[in-house]
Amino acid sequence: MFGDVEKLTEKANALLSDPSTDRNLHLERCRGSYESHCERFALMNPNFCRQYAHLYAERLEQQRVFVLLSAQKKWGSRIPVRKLSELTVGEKCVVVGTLFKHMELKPNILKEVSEEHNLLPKPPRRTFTDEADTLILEDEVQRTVLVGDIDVLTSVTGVIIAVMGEEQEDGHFRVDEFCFSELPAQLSRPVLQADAYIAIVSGLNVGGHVDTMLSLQLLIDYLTGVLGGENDQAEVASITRLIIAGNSLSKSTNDSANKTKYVTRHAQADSVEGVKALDDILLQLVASMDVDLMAGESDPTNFMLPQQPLHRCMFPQAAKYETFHNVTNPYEADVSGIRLLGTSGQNVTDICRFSGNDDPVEVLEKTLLWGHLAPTAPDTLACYPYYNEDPFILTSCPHIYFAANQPSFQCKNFEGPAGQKVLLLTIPRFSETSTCVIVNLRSLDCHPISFEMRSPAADGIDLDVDK
Amino acid sequence: MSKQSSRPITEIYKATRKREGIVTKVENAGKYEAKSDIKAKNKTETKPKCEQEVAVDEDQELELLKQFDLDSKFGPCIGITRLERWERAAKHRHIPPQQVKDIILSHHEDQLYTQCLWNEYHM
Repeated sequence: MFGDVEKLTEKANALLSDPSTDRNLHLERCRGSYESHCERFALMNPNFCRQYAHLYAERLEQQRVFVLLSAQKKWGSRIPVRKLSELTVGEKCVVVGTLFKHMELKPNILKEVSEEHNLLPKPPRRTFTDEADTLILEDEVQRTVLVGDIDVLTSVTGVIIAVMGEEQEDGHFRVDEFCFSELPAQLSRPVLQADAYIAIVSGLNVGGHVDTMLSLQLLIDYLTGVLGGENDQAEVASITRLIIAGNSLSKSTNDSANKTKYVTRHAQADSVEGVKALDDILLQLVASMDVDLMAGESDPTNFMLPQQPLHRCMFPQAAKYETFHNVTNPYEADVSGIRLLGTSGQNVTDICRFSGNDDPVEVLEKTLLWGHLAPTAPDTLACYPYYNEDPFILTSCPHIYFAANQPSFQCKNFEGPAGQKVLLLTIPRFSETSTCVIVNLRSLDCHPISFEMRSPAADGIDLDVDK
Repeated sequence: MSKQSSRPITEIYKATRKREGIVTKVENAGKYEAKSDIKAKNKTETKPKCEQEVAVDEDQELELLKQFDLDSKFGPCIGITRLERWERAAKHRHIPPQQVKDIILSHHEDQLYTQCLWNEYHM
C-alpha cells in the first residue's frame, strides 16, 4: 500500500488538488490487540552481590537439553556424549559446553593497570579480533582448546555449542562438526483481515548538538495524520503502534562526571532539557497512537541489560495518557497476534565488535541460530547477575525480530529449519538517517520512510543571491 | 615486650567460634593476662551426655551441608543461599537430597546452615 508506484502518482495528484469540501471526513486509527511479554526482563528486587558464574551455569543447563536434541538429530545417537572430564584420546564423541573466545586484544583491566607494560592510551578500535584468537570449550568443571573445523573469527563467547570430534594427543579437541540449539517453535501467524502496520524508529538523540528537530517534527506530523492529503491520512490511520527503540536522548545529555564543581554548580543538567523536549515530542505522539518507549544505551536508565523502562515521572505530560507505555529493553510483545522481539541494538553492536561479523542482519540471524539474544553478556556486554534464570534464551521464535540503532536499514526474510519464518530488521538511527521503518503485520513486508532534509547550504550551493 | 613474646600468638589473638556461627577475633594485644587466667578460659566444661550427642548430630548435619555445597553437579554455590541452590537443582532435575532441605528449613534462622560454606569471605 505504501510503496505502490501507481498509488504514488495518484497521491501526487491528490496533493496538488484543491482542499476537500467534505468536512465530515473522520478517520479513525485502527487498534489491534496487544499483549506484552516483557515480564521476564523486569528486575524485581535486584541483588548485585552475586557472581556471574550462576548465569553461565544456568545458561548451560537450560540450553544443553536443546543442543543435545539438535546434536542427536544431526549425528544420530550412536556417537556417545561425553563430559570434558571423561574424554579419552582418539575416541569420537560429542561434547556440549560454553564457547569462550580468547582474544589478545580484548580490553583487559589487568593489563591496563599492570605497571610492567606501561601502556599508553590506545585509539579506540572498531573490532578487537586478531588472527591469534583461540576458541575454548568450557563445561561445568573443565575447559579444553578447540582446533579444527570451526571458524574462530565469527564465533563469540557465551554460545552453547555441541562439538563432535576427538581429543588429540596434545590435549586439544579436534572439531569435525558442530551444532547449536534448535530454533524453538513459532506460534502460527494469525491471518489478519485488513492491513495493519507498526512503525519502528530509533536513535532520536534528542537534546544533542545535531539539529534534527525539523525531520523529527515531520515524522510526528506524518504519524499523527496531520501531513499529506486524505489518501496519506487514510493510510497512516492503519498504523496501529509506534515503537521508539532506544537512544531517544542523545549521548551528550549524559552528565559528564569529569566536570568540576564550579562549572556545574549553577548550570542545569543537559539531560533535563533533553527529557523535557522528549516529553513534548511524546505528548504529540501519544495523543494519537499507542507508543512503546524502549530504553537505549544513552538513555537515563540502568546501563546493564535488561534495561528497565524509563521512569514515568520523567514524562509528566505524556504519562497521563494510557497510550504511553514504557517498556524494557529487550522488548517482546504480541501485536495483533504477531510476536515481536527486539532490542535497542547493544547486543548486535557488541557481537560485531568482538567477532568478524560486520553485517547486523547476519548477526541477527546468527543469534537466532545460537538460540540466545545476547551471548556476549556478561563477558563484554554488561548484564544483571541472574542466578536462577537466563531471560535472554530464546524460548519461542518471533515473527519479527529487530535490532535498533544500526547504521542503516536492512531487512531479510529468514527461514528456520522447521519452517519458521522470521522477518529480520535493522532500524537505522533517526538522527543520522531521518528514516523510520513501517512494517505490514499482514504480509510481513517492510519499507523505510525517509524524512531527510536537504538544505541548499548542506549541498554546498551558495545562498547569496546578489554577489 | 619480653613477657608478650613468651606467649604464643594464638593466645594473643584468639579466634573463637560463637554458637551463631560468626567467627570473631578476640584481640588481646597489649593486655597482660596471667597464665592461670588464660588456662581457665581455655578449659572446656564437661557437657552432660545428651548435649554431646546433640553436638555430634549437628556436626554431621553441617558436614552433610558442606558436601552439598562442594558437589559441582548442583552448580556454583557462592553468593546464593543453600535453599536457593537446592531449589535451583530441583528445578533442573538433579535430584538434590531431601535431607539437606530438611536440615536447612529446620535451622532457617541460623546463618551457619542457610548460607554457603564461604559466606563469611566477601566475594
